[in-house]
Amino acid sequence: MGASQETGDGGVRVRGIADDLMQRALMSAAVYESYDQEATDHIVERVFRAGFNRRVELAKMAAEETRMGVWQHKVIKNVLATHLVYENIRDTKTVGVLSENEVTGITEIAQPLGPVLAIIPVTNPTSTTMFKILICLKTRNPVIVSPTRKAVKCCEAAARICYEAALEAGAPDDCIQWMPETSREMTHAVMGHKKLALILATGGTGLVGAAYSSGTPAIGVGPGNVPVLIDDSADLPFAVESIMASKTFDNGTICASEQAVVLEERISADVRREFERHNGVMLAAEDVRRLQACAVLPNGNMNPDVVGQSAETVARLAGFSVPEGTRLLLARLTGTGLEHPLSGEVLAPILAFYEERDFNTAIKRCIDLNYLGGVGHTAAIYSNNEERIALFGRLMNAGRVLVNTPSSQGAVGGTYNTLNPSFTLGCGSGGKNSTTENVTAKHLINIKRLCRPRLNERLARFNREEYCDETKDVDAILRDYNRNW
Amino acid sequence: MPTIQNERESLMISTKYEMECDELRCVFTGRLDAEASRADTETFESAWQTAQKERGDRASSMKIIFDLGEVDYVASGFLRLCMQASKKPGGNQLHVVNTSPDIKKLFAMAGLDLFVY
Repeated sequence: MGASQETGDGGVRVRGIADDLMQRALMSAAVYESYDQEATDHIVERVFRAGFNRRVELAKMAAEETRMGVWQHKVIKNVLATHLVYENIRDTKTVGVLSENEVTGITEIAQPLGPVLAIIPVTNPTSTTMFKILICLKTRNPVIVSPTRKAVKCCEAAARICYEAALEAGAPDDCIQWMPETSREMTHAVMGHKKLALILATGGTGLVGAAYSSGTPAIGVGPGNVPVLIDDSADLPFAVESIMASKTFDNGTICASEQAVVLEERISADVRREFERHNGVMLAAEDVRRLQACAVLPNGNMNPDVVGQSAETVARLAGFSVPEGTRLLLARLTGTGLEHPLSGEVLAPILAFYEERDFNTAIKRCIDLNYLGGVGHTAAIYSNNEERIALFGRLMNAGRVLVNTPSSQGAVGGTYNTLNPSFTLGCGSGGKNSTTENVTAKHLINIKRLCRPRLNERLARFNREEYCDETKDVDAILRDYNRNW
Repeated sequence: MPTIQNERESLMISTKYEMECDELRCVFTGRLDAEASRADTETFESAWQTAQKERGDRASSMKIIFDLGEVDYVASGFLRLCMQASKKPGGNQLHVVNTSPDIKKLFAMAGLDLFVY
């Protein structure tokens, strides 16, 4: 079927498949809603164990099928998506009464959302699949996994492993399904299905936009363009080692990875030396031109051919050579925007390098980078000056502002800080998202509020006829309303 | 008036076809989990075939009644059985009756509440 517009009989066929998927998911949702916390937690534990036990096999499958990233790093992602996510949600109450407050008279009761569509990106396929399955099962929501065309096999394998474990643990039939085909028409038919409760949309801007336009509630992510500022109070060897570990992790496929390092001129030589010590290569101006022509398409989007490739491969694709063992390509830039293509997001081991006069110009450069295409996502600073850290935190428009932390690993949480481990990083209104949080199980519950009478005493004692008295102005009414009885 | 009974520890379904009322009444009891639902499906199909033969040319107007008065849990397998029953010739002849509030809600969530009473 491909990407062509499917109409007529083809459209009927696609809608029929979507209807069948949704009918199964609805029946599963109905049955799952009757499960108690203990039964739910048992299922989640069994699924976590099954996914964790196959972490290496799935990582190798993902690297081989997508031809992106480093399988050993994808193992770490799978560990985060299963072990750390499980540890994080294990004790969260997601069934029945969540809280009771005698004073307010409000009892909060958890209620599942219903069928969830999990859109999976090519950059983190098996980890995102298992992560979304775990948080959906924890909240008793059936999930339909929708992989990208380049990662169908590994995503299906991950989903199947989880599904078999879930069934063995007593989960309802069809609590995990996956799309039988990956055409755009199929995805749109399910996204816009009136019975779908939520879309968990992790992926490119186009797909996330389509999810939001579908009419179904969606939790999406925004694009990143992470600036990292190093000031002169930072521990430079630590900062550079940390950035190297982050930016080269899985060949830069995490959207929270650093895109540009910004520093004060006075520490530039020391920082460069540290990067070189870790096999980062500062490119000559001519090679920067070749790299930007290769890595960024004329429309400003990153070239998918370089995504998740090693530094040596990217250099080869761009038409220049780098020493064997090169891990990172550093491109010195002097501006931001379309005239400086590498100032935007490229999910590969390429790092823009800015040297600025002082801290103030450095922070202004970070603001430019932040607003260029990563509003609401992530920003990072290496500093030991609390005032500067506070200023940076105030000025960046980012859901996560990381301090002295590798941003790839730091933003996804669970290892370097106490953020929720997640493969769906909310970017707030800046990224057209509904939350800036790391999305997790708590975002997949409808909370009902059982409200017992608790009178507004001041209103009850207040003579409400005063509202109709034109001679009473706001101060007069507030005086009576707030009268101390 | 054929009566087919299928008894196991976790399940009992009794099916009864009454010519006068023109209905096939299936009374379920206990927990209709996945395993029980599979067995129930076979029992129901057999009873339906038998009733069809008895009814001859009036086959398309037979009502199917699923009585869940003694049922405290249903799995998705049972919902599938209901869908299957609702698609029998004649259409819209399935009536699921005597459901508890929990099970009524379950059918509503599954979008199958049209034939639940």
